[in-house]
Amino acid sequence: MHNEEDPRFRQLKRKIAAFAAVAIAAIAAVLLLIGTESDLFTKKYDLVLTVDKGTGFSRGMPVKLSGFRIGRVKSISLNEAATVDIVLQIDRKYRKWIRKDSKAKLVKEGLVGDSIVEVSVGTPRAEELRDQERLSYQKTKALDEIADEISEKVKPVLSEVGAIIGYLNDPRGDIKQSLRNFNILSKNLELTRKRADLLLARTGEQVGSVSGQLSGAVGETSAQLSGVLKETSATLRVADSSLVQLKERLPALLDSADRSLRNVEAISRDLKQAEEQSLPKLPGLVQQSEEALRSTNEVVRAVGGIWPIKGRIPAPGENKFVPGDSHE
Amino acid sequence: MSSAAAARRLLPPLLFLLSLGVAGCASRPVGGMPPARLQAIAHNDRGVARQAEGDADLALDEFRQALRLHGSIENTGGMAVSLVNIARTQRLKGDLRAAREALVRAEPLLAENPGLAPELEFEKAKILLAQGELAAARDCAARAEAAEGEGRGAARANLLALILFRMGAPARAQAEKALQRSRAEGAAAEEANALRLLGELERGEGNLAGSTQRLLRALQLDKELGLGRKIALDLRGLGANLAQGGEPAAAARLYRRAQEVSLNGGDAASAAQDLRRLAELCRQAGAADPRGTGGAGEECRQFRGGR
Repeated sequence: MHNEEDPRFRQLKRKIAAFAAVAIAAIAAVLLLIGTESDLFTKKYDLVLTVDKGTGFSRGMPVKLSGFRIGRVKSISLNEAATVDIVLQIDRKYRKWIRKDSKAKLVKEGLVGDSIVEVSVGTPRAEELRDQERLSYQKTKALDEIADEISEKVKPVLSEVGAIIGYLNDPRGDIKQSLRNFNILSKNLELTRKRADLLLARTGEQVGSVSGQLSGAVGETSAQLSGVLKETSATLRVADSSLVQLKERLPALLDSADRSLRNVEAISRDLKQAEEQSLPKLPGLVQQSEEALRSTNEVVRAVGGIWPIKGRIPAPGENKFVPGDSHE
Repeated sequence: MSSAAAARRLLPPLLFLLSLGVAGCASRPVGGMPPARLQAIAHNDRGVARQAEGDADLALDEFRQALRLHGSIENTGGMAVSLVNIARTQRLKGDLRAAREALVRAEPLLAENPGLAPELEFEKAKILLAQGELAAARDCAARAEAAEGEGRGAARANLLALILFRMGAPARAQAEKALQRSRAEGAAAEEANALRLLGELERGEGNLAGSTQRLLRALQLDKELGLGRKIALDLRGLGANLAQGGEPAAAARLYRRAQEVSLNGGDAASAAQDLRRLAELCRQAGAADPRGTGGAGEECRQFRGGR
């Protein structure tokens, strides 16, 4: 019997098995590589974040610490208090940086970049956060909120600038009217100068005639002055009679003042004498008072130490604070 | 004379001599503390008394004397107490910078006196709260509460609840805890504080009946204790409940009562705030009913008349 066989099909099973093994190994290597790149095989743990609104958050959103990706947003859900619970899945190897006082916030990478959850590094004194523990959230302002805030601040400034420009441009306003007036004034100044020249020429002519009139006026004034002097003389006579009356009454007044001064002097002398007598006694009195007080104090303390009484006297309390109310 | 009669006659002098002997044997000189320390304690006590009388400057002088005397014998515990008292008095005077400086000086002394930590952390939280640093205040209040053993736990818990409330964080559980502790400690003033805070929380949740019930109890306690400022706060809270519940006339009456309590207590700033609230209430009521007082009643008419 002739058994005919194509030489290419010899050991076909072995060739197929080898090919399949190589293909499976390649697929496994690719899956391993993708898994490693996507952190599928690294150990992770969850942290929970509660925010008022879920706006801006999305599943799979990167979580970064100091600019490095350390995890992603695993889930977002509404809780019983109508706030939003966000579960962050974090690589376990970064756990040492995330502590009780770490804070998470929603930020944008750059002005138009993607939103990310940024976690701050905790202080070494604080404890590390464990799986399912809560991370505190720090609210950040969104771009539109910041823009609104700036817009609100700039609005009054722009409105004031507009008002100032309007004021400057107003044809009936002070500035425009002042400029117009200044223009008119400069034109009038030339005219005024010409008039002044003319006036000076005329004044020279008139000075001569005025000097003649002045000499006549001096004569009239001299006559009037004589009348005034007569009136002054009468007034002086009245003043003289008043001084005579004052001279008559003054001795009596001076005598009375002298008596008053003597009384004051006597009182002052008495006071000084009393002071001289009592002052030396004062230090002694003060010393005696101090001694009496000290003795009294000692007696009181001694009495306080006696058996039936000492139990009723509270021991001096050192830790006495000003009362501090929690809601004052 | 019988022997019984002689004994009766001798008994009083014998008893007198016996009592003298017992007193002499049982007496001892007051000691145990050096004079400087006793003087410092006396200054501290006088400072507390001056502060209670409302004379902050005299109180500060006394606390500084106490601090100097404690410092002269290196009594760190006494120094820390004096510094906390200085800080509290300065805060109540409104000088927060000086208050904080005093606490900064007191902090290193805690290493030798850990028992004073709750009071210091409590005061630190109060200063931070007054400065608007709420997160830091919360941490200090939490430390004060954690460090407190027996005694003023209600005040610590209440302060933490108040800070959480101001932060907008959930504060109900903490306020309930403060209420329980204040009742357990018999601290009526703190119980009133916790009730007032719970009243505020319940108003925020829309439970006006519950809020009013809490505030009425707080008002009763504050009246028993004679705390004017707190009475005004309770009346203000009750007024807000009535205003929110659509009863402007009754609300206006309560605001007026709060204003009078504040004014008579010398708190002009709070009285002015009450008048502002009353004016706002009347304005709103007037807008709703331009021809009359909008149901806000006599108070608004008097207000409009410039009473």
